Amino acid sequence: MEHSFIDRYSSLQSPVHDLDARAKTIAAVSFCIVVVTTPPHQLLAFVIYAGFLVWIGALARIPLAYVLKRAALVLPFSAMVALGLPFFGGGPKTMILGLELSTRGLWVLAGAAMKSFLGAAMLILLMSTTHFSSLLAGLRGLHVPALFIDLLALTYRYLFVLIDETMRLKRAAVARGYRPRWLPQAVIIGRLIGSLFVRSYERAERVYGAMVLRGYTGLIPAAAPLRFHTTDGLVIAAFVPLIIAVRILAR
Amino acid sequence: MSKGDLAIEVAGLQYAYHDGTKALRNFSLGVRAGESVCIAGPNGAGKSTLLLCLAGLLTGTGRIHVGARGFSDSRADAPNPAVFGLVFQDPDDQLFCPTVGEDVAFGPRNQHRSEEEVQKLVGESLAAVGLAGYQSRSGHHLSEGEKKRIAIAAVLACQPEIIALDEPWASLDGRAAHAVTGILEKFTGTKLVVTQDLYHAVLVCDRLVMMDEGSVVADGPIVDLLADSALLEEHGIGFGTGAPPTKGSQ
Repeated sequence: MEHSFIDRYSSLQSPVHDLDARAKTIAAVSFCIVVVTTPPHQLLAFVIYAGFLVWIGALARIPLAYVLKRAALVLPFSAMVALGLPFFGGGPKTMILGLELSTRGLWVLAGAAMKSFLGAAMLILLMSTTHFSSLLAGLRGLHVPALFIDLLALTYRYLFVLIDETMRLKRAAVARGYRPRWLPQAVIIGRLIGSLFVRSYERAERVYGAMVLRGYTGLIPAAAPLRFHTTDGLVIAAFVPLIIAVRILAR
Repeated sequence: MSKGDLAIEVAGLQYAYHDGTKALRNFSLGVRAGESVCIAGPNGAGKSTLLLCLAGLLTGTGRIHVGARGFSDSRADAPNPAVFGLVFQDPDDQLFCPTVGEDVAFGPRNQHRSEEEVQKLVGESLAAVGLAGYQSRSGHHLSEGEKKRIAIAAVLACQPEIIALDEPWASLDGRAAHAVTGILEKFTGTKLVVTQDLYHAVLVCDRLVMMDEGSVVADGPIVDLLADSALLEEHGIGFGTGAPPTKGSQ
């Protein structure tokens, strides 16, 4: 079975794809930091940030709808964290749809939504313009702890295996007449999850065995080093000050 | 190691799982360097457990001598990929890197070879399994047959003296199975093939060791043992209907 959920467009050719993974990672992380530290009421800054993303996406030929749809997946999570603030936050109140809401709480909620959405969109662009193995090599080049990189690599590789395994279990249940309509039938989902956990545990043991048999002693050895070109340096030198300038000036 | 020396020697090996199930009972076996041995037997005969013990991943009681590793009394030495390479039944257990190239390079890099040598081995191993140029492909985008061949390439890249394969033809269509058979025919080192698929095994192996309930029940030339239908029937293995193929009949 084929999956292309994470880095579907990473094999395209574009000026963004050609950049070194370290340059793109530095730019993406800088962008996220700047976005997160921007006060929510600086709406113009958020519009400009969004403009940057649209421009990068167009340059890399990544469909806008693809980025928007995936970035929107983070919104329920940010909403979960900040949804109560308009109701329970202090400060001045405003009436919306007959509800008395905290103005400060509303700004925090809007800020959380905008920041998480823009951050996620940037990371999706990073993933869509960088092959995962190059991204890992880039992180290694940036001295991110090797154990963390190994965990990322294994997660990426086995995420697809787990999805397949989950689908097989689900199909096996459906093929034997399982139609989840009533709450008590949810017990089956618990059993499926339990079965998936046991299978994953057993697979982890086999994977570890396979690694040990090929000389694994604790860390996956590094791949061939990446090459950092002048263009990569120029991109960082231009992009990072630019977004900082937006953060400071666009009020 | 010269041809004729024992590449694998097992004496009185016993292994029991945590629940008390005895997988290997007083198992003994000698395999000469360069020999191609098929290990067959019904489900639960202890075939895969034997491979894991030989690889050093499970520790039983008894004595095991594998390639350059000396005799060990029940405790396995650290696995040495240059001596014993094991291809797992499910390639997803073995291919854990984001790309094929990195997966095949994993063993040689752990052997501290130079990057130039690693890349040469990766190219040669992929060519040997008919998948040259697959370096940048993702493991999860491959067919089952391709994954199996990459798993073999990943072991071949470590240049092992002995290669062991657990059910190499399982879940493969005819074309993929044929490709795996071709790869095994070309490997000149010692081969240990655990399989239920005697149809393909007879094309690759000269000797058949039949196991049942953790012990050897028959050992001899594969062609002779396959002619003994009563023996095959008794231990729950066989070709089904039709005559077994012979070497060169592919």
